[in-house]
Amino acid sequence: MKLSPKVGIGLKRLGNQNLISSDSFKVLVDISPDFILKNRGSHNADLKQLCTSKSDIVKECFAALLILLVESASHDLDEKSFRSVVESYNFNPERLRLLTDVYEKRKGDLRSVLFRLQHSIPQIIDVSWRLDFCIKSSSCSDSFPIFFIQLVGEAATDNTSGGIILKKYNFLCTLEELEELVSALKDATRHIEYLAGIK
Amino acid sequence: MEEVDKIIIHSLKDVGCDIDEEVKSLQQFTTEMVVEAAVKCLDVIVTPKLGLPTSLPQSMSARFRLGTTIAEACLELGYNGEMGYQTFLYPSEAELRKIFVFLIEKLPKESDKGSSQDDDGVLTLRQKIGESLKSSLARPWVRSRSAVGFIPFLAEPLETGISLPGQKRDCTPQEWRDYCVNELPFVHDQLHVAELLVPSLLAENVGGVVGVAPNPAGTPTLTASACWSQASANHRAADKMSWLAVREKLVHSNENLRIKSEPPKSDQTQKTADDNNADVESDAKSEEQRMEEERIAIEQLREKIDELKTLSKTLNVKLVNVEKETEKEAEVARARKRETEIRQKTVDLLPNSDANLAKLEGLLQAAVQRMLSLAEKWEQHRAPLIENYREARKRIANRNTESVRQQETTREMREKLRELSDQLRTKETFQTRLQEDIEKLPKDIVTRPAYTRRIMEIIGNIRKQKEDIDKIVRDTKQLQKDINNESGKLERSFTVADDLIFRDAKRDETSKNAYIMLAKLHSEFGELVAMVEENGAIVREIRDLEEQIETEMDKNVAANLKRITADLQQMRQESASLASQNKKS
Repeated sequence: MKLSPKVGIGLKRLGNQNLISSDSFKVLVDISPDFILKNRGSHNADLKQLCTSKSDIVKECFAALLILLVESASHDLDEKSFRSVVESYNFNPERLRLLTDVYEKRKGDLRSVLFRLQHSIPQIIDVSWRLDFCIKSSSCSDSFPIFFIQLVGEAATDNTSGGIILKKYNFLCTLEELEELVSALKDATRHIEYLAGIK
Repeated sequence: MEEVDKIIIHSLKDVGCDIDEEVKSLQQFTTEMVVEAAVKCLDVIVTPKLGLPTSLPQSMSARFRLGTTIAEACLELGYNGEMGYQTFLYPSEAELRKIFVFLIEKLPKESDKGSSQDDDGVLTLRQKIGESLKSSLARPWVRSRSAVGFIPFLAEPLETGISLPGQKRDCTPQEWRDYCVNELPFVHDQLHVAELLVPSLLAENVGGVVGVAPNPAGTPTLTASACWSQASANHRAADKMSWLAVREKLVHSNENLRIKSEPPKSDQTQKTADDNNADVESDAKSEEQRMEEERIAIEQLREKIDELKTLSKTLNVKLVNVEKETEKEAEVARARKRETEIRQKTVDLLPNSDANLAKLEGLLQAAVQRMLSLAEKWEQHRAPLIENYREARKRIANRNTESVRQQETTREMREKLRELSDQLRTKETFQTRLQEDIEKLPKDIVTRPAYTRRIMEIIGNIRKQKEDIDKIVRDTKQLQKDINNESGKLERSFTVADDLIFRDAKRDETSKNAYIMLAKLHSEFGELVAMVEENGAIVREIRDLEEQIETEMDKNVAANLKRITADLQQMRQESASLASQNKKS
């Protein structure tokens, strides 16, 4: 896991007893997971209270702490490796213990939030098709097949309702275009298999 | 053979085969286990992997194909011996032992494995991607979207407020600090869409790691929010769109109005906040009109403020100039006053000039004298003081170097401490892992010295046996020689007897009879010997045949034949059903 130098500075300030008192540290560490988990409740007021002096430092430390928690959870660090990451930022044992305990306790929740991060591209779940054969038309005399294709995609709506909507994509294509589409799809599959090391 | 089986099973477990504790010998292996073990061994040996299924497929023909591919792979590896699908599908114990011994010898050794560990992060990342892709490809696809809402991976730029050393901003550090203290909201409040906090945090960190400068505020935020509101299908989206449009306008007009010395963001955010409130309440058109008016008013006000500012600046400058001039004048006046005073004194002294001159000279002499004595005294005081001063300075310098050195050593110690603790941790994890490994290792596997003892014993036995065999061979040779001797003697005595009796036979009737009897005796004994030899040959043949029967019995042909016929039946059925399907379609 890599943390940016900015975050490193923030964490060092968080571990500095002269900048952040131990009471403030405890409050910061206790409430910060709740901000990521979106149940902030009355914590905004808590944050404001912390801002009575050196509010710029508090803000920096808060940002760095949030980033640390999110990154660690996304890498699924266990307690030991988390401890070793934090240790390199000059935390004293007491603070280290507090922070590690909170991380250990809330890791599951943090990861559940991270699991909800997805791309919003619809997934194709079904396809139906029809083949028409044009024997003759007023513009050209050649006969050719036309494929009517309908892809059914499934996309989630936004996070609040959590519902799923089906979208239908209709298009028609000639034989060559269909072949192109199929070969492109096959290419994609092959690429995935190559990445997975199957072939 | 039991030890061999034990070793084989142990090695197969190492490869990752799931073998029951109860299975103690190859005899107990089922077809499924044989195929699984063979495929897993091949997966480890052959790179790139063959990608064969580890379990037997349902259809008979697929099973045969699988068996054939495994056999081909083994032959390619250099197995010399007969091998085909039957080896794996209808296994016999002896053959299996041979094959597995061959495969296990081919397994890569521990020492080969260690070399390829030190590659950079990209490779491991790619490996990880490959593994997770492979595992997800192995799973059947399910519609995974549950009722839990998802968060799109869209990031908005965040400002942590932390300045890197050497980082330049378009304002002074003091201004930036004031801005951070008073204006900058907490990171979670900087977002326009609260749900995007997590991706934004991740993106901020990655941006910092990669060294990409954060996007200037404005357009990127808009795109992220715009994507978000496109994704959201609920009512709120409508509000947001109009709000966004207003914001976009504001941003563009702000770019023209932005004043250099102000931290750019605070102004903007305040403004947006105000406008946002106003906007939500009324509808878009009148809103825009009012906005326009307000904007013009603000612009006018700002221009006025600018004018006033410049006016006050020029006035200030003028004031400063005037003050400076007055000071200069006062200085000149003071100098002139002193001059006039001196002149006044000289004019007073002028009438009695000689006496006054002498007096003045005396005064001067006395002053010079005093000056000299004072200088001497001063020297006396000064020398020790300077000495002291020099010493103190030296002491301080010493102390400084001392402290610097001590600092250095403490830093080194701290560094070392961290290193050591890191080492300790890695070693501890290593130890626990090794401990786990030890616990995992089966207890019943006989250790290496036991094996060597065993092997030595076997070798001793073999040596003894060889000696025995040599003795027997010697005996046989001796016997052969004796037989040859005897037969030679017999031949010779026979010819002698034959001659003697033959000579007598011409004259004597009894001798004739005796000769005939002798001839008969000889031929009959010859027949007897031949028969004995034949008997010996037959007994040998019988033994050979018995051995053959035993080996065939080992292969349990009957059971295998039964299975083969059953499989054949199944294959016929399958092909028949396929044919009927074909016909139907």
